[in-house]
Amino acid sequence: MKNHLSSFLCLVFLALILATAVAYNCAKPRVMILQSYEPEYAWTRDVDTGLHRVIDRWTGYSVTWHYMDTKQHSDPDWLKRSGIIARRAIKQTRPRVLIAVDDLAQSLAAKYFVNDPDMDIIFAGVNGSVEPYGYNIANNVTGIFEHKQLQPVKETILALESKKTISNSAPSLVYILDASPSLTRGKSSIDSYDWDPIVYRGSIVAKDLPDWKKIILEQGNAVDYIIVANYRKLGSSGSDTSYAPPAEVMAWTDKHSKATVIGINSFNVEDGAMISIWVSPFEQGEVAAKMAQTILEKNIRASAIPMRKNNQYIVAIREASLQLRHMELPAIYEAFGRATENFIEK
Amino acid sequence: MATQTSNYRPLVADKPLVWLMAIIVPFALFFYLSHLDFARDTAIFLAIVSLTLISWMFSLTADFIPALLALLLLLLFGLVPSRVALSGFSSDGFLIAFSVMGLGAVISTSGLARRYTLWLLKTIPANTFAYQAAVFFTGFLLNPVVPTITARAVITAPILNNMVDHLDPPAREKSSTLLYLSGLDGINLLSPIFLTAALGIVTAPLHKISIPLVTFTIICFLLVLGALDRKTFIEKIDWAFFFLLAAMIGFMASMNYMGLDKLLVAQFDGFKDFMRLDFEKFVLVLTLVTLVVRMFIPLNSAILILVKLGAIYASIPFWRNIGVL
Repeated sequence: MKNHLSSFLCLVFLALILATAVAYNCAKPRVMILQSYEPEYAWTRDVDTGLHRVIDRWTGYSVTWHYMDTKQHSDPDWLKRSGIIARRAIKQTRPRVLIAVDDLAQSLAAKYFVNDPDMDIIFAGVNGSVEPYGYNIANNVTGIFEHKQLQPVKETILALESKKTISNSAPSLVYILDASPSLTRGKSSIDSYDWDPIVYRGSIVAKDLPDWKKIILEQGNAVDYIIVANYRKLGSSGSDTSYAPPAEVMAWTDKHSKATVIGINSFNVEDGAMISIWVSPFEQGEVAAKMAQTILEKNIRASAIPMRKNNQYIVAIREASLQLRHMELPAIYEAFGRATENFIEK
Repeated sequence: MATQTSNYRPLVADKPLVWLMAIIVPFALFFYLSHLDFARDTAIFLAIVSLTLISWMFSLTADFIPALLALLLLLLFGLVPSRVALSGFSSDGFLIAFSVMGLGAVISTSGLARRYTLWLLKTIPANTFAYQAAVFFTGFLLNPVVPTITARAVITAPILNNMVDHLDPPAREKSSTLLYLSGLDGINLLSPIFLTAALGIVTAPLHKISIPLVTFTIICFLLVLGALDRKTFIEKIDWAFFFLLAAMIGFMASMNYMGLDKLLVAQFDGFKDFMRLDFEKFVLVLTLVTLVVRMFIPLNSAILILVKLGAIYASIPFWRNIGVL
């Protein structure tokens, strides 16, 4: 009889543990991270690193990740389908906080949940304005912008000039880009930036790879510096609909341009550029995650946290390219590059 | 029928009051600590600790099970990442303990123990004192190479039994107790001097391979050479102890991860003056604490807990300043 009682109490004990664990996990506030691109894409990978720096310390929240894979596949059908899948995932997960990274995540999914009474949205990696998404008048949205860090680019150009034997106090600059939506949206902030004393000659959008090459060769003779951001959407030729491999595009550009080429994206030096200065993806991830944490801890709406601009940037250097062009930078650039493991010697 | 009844063993411990305590106390403690404004994670952790202690104190299950259950609860409630909770299974201590226990199993099953006993009986004088010394020093020699008392007992016991079996009945009756006590002293008394009693410290500078890998290499090679068959491998190695060891290492790592070790040290900050002013009395108090802990907690668990607590306090510079460490 006593043993029957012990067996019964043991089962009650185990059932109670199970029930408590299930109830506890179901009651945990959910955070969903919606990435526009795939996890292997350098920018996304680094934003995830920034997110993890905060999220890995969380214990009372449940975190799910969803990748829309729109960098590798960007045809209209795929975009439409990935938007539907993402919105379905959000509705099924019903997160308390949705962190949406990059413009496509906003336009294809997150904007449909503006003013949702049970969900707050935090955007990151938005290049232009948030007005197209309705965020400016929403009561449940905040986030961090991804505006190109142009002041450090300007300082780098002037630093390169200062190290030349005969320096130019007013070097000229042009911005060459492909036709991808994120770059087109962010172009105006680069065009309207105060580049003085650098003479900014404007931006040129290349239609395809042959057009890109023609522009590089022409502008290489006309200006001192060319800045590039992305070149992943350059069709190989008129009839060929596939995109040219980005590493080949960048390697060709660095080799054939008479003007010095400076990248303003994370992967430019990996692809072959001499130097790049880009928005810190780590800051994007960390700030977004900290905003989410504030919302959850204080139980406030996202609109109580002001939207903010990005401040941090990363520098990457390819030493061999610098030496090939007989150029130098102040030692602190190399120190920064090495400290963040972005200094390539070959 | 009578035989079947006498072989009956209940599935769960026949202690309904203890089961009731195991149900009520953790929840009560959690709500009480929450009422005192303890952080939720800390309250959950301490509730898990209370459940583990109840299980050990009243022997609700085998000693390794509460430790495993504690790990499970840490993971189910998301208090620490799995890489922290399960770190014991990939720790150096776990690898060393497994390898050396395997070695102990090889020694005891290979006939080596019996050959050693026969050699001893042939070599040493045939009197009780000589036999006692032989058994004592056999256990003593195992201290630097075999990390746990269980493993040393596994190796020494066959030697001791063989020796006792070779005595004639009157001598056996007179000396067996003394011999067993000598064996117990040999495997027990000198183990603190060798701390973890890990193998290979002397040879490490020669081959530059870490100690855990050295021990793991030895046991793997012995297994490849067929030193242990599958049945012996399963039966002769104390697997329950391994799971207990890994679970306790993971549990302590979880405590560190949550910052509770610092909290614990801060609670006993007042001991500093006591230790500085009267170290002899402090040692007596420590001995008393150890004895009390041992009365309630199984041996292996008590060793692991007290060693870890000692390590936490050892990290305080104060210990080094007063010359204790």
